[in-house]
Parts: sequence; structure tokens; C-alpha cells
Amino acid sequence: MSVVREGARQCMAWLHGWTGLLLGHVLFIMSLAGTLSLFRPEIGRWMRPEIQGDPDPVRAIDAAVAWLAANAQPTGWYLTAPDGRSNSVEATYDAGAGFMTRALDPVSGAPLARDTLGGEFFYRLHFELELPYPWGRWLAAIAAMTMLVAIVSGVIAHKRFFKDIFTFRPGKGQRSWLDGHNALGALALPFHLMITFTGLVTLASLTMPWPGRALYGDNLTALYTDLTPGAVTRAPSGTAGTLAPLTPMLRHAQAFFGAPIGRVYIFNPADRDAVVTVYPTERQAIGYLPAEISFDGATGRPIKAWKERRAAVRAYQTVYGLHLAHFATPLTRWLYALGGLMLTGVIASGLTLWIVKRRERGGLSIANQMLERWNVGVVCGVPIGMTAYLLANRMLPLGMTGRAEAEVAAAFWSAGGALLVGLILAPRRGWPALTVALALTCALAGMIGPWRGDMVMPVGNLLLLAIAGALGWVSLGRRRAKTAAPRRAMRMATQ
Amino acid sequence: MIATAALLYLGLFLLAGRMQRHQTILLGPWRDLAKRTPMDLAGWGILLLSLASLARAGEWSFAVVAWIGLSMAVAAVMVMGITYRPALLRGLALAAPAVAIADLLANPA
Repeated sequence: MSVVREGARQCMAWLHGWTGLLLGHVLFIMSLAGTLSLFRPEIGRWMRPEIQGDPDPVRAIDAAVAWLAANAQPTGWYLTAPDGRSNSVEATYDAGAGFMTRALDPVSGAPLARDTLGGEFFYRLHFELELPYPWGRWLAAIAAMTMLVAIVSGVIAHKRFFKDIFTFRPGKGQRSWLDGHNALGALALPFHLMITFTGLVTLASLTMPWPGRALYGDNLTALYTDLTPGAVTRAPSGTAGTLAPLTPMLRHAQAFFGAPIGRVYIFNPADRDAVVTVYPTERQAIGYLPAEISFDGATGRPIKAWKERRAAVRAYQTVYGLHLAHFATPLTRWLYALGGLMLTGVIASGLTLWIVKRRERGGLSIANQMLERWNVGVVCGVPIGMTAYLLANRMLPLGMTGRAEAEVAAAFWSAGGALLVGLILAPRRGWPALTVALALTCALAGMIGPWRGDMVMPVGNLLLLAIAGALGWVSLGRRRAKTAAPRRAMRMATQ
Repeated sequence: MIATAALLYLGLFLLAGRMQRHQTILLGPWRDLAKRTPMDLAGWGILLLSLASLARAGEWSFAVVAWIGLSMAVAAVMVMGITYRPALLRGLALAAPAVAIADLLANPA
């Protein structure tokens, strides 16, 4: 019996190691970017210091629509209202060269000179990994499945899950790495399972299209109508029309939801049969998209109002909403962030553990030596790229063409550069060199930013400086430990 | 929220203190008094209480999510404390019941 159990445990340990290794670097990026995505609106605010204060959502949407009416194609405008966390209008529209997404000023309605993706970059990176659709999402989904396998097999492979749960023994090489890896994994296990599973659910329609296919065939419109019976689809009449004032519609919607407005979609805005669809803010319940109301664009009269009450759909939305955490209070959001950081730490320590374990067993193979360098490059390079993105936001000239794209390019070139340095330098030099580089970029990004304005400005700067300080402290501590060790050895040798 | 964190801390302290490995560090001279089963029951019971203390104010769904997050944070303090600041942990364990009761009295739901 126990032989079987030991065999099973070893199988699981093998599975845990290889699933973790296979997509570990991708998971590291996803986990870190996902953690930052929790603060998507706040990062957006920090990156758009020209807008301060919290505008009234209705007035902001009004201003945005006025600007769009004069400057955008009347195909469709998809707006997200400021909600007390974000303070600009996020708009997707076609200004003549295809659809694009921009932050619009809540007062003038015009796009900002400091063109940036803001926190949206981290959000997209989290599940699309900057790869073209659908490959990025597929990679993210496969990585999440691997993660789930790694978590479950890790729990089974862990010999004394409950006995070791509070144990951390520092300064003992492999033992310490294992303790740290176990503690980070075990203490936040409910979070890790929740976030991985719900993350998989968000991509389920991509990875498992068969239930929908079986019931609806290729008729996706029917599927969509059944999923959201409140949706109104109306073909343009071809006759020109003007949009009625939005404010009464938005106020009506607010009264219907009993909550502030969230997203406002305007279909065929210059047509007589224009439709204005309003969704509530996501900050009132764990469920995602709980209601919608549509108005006739020309008259402003409501066409259809609907609130989701079906248990199955609510359950799906709850699972989905649990992943996005838009409902979270600040405290819950920071706890999510702690969980996300612990997950990032589990992945990074797991990758390190793979190397440490093999080195202590005597020598690294060429492949493992390469892997060790990849670890250095990815674990340091990814955050370096992210910080470079913030730095580029502050340093690139305002109003330059393709500014938002240039920020992203800065992120990728610096991450790539750091990865290259990690691959070239020996790990014992690569780790401190890149840690110091990351500390310096963080410090710089924190120092040059404006400090005045909303809380988010100084808090963001201080966080960056604190990260820089912590990284500096760690790398200094390591250096001191390294210089102290030989001295101690010498003293012992002379005694 | 403060009461929840304090109760969580107390519950985890008891569960950790009942473990052979951490007994000396956490309980010191009282480790002989620590009977395994009563301490287990007390630890888990207090953990449940902490969840209930969070849920009494609002919705269960929010409470469970916040509680899982909070337990993670408190457990991290426990692990780091056992390794680096055991004296602080013992002090906090003495303060935790008082803090929990004070907060529950100050903010009755």
C-alpha cells in the first residue's frame, strides 16, 4: 500500500516539476501582469497625470460623445465611464483608420496628448501575451491548465503539507528554497486554485466551444441573444438622424440600475435608428454584467430594460467576476495583490528550485545551465520591461505620433535587452547586475513623476521607490553575505 | 475587519502552537499544558468565528473572498514571525483576544 503511495507521490513530483518548468516563464509573466492588472485604473491614472479629480460619469460621457460626433466615424462608439477609480473615458471608435481605443478627457472629450495604454497594457499582456488573436489567448489558456495541474500535483507531491505549513528555515540552500516555495504555495493555496480555475473559465468559450456549437451550430447570433436577452440589435435605416441628448438617458439608466453607469455603447450614432445601450458599473456585486438598458437614439425613449436573474448565468458571471475582482474593496484588492505576488513568488522560486536541486545533486547539465540563465533573464527582465514602460510614459514627448505604441516598444526592447544580459552573464553576476538595474529603473520612474494631484500620484511614486529600496537592500545584503563568507572561512582556517 | 484579523491570528497561533516543531517557540513554558485535541478544536473554532465575524456585517460572498485573502496575509505574518520574530508573535497572541473583543464591542453589526 505504502509502496503504491510513494510511487504515486513520485509520479506527482515528476509531473509537478515538468509542468512547472514547461511554461513557468510564461506563467511568471502572466502572474506578474495579472497582479498589476488589479490596479489597471490606478495605473492609468498615474500614467495620465494631466487628468485629476473624479469627474461625474454622466457629464464625462456627454463630453466624450460630443467630441466623437465631430471627429469619429458614426459606426459605433464603445465607451467606459469613469467610476471613481479610473477618471477618463475609455473609448473605442473609428477615426478613419480602423477601430482604436483611447482615453478621452472627461471635460473636453478629446484624446489626451499623453497617449498611453495605461494599465490596459498589463491587462492585455496578462491573457494575450502580446501575441495575435487567438494564439496569445490559447497560450494563456494552456499555461493556466498547466498551472492547475502543477498546483494539484504539487499538493499531492508535498509530503507533509500540514506539518510544514508554518515552516521556513532560511540560509540552508535547497531546504530554504523548498520551504519558501511550499509556504508561498500552501498558505495561499485557496487563492491560487481560485485564480487559476476562474482564469480558465474566462477563456472557456475559446478552449471549449463545443457545448455552444452543439446547441446552436454556427448561429452565434442566437447564442448571443439567449445569453443576453436584454441586447437590442437594430440595423441602420440608412436615413440620417441626430442623437437625442444623452444625459436624460444616462440618468434614467442610473435610476433603473440603482447604481452608477459603467459602459455606454452607441450603435450607428448618426442614423435615425441609433441605439444607446447602457450597462451598470461592475463595482456593486461579484457578478459581471448584471443588467443593461437600451434607448432609441433619436428619441431617447427606453426600448428594453433587463436584469440578469438566471441562476446558471449568475453563477458563471460570479466565477468570471471573482477573477476580475472589479467588485473588490481596496482592502480585498490589496489582498488579491498579495495573493498574486505570492503566486508570482511560487513560480519564480519553483524555477529556481529546479536548478538549485540539480546543482546540489552534483553539477548542472548544459540544458540546465541554459535554463538557469533564462531564469535570471526572465525573472528580472520582465519587471524591468514593465518599469521601462512606466519610464517611457514619463519621458517620451507629448503628442508624438504612435506614442502609446512607442511605450510598449520600450517595454519589450528593455525586457529583451535584460534577457540578453541574463543569457550572456554568468548567473552569479547576472542576478545582482539585473536586480540593481531593476532597482535603478524603479527609482527613476518613481522620482521623475509628478507628485502633486490625487493620492494615486504620490502613492505610485512611493511604491516604486519602496520596491527600488527593497531590491537595493536585497542585493546589498547578498553582497555583504558573500564577502562575509570567505572571511569567516579564512578565520576558521587560521584558527 | 480588525476583529477578523485578530481572531484569524489567534486561531492560526493555536494551530501552529500545537505542532511539535513550533511548540517551544510559540508556547514556551506553557507547552506542556497544550493538549493536542482541545487546542485543535479551539484553533479551528476560532478560525470559523473569524469568518463569521466578517460575514456578520455584509454579504457572505464578499466575506468569504476577503477572509481567504486575510488568512493568507495573517499566515504569512505567522511564518515570517516564527522564523525571525518569535517574541513578537507571543506578544501579539496575548493582545489578539483583547483587540478582537474591543473591535467587536466597538462595531456591533
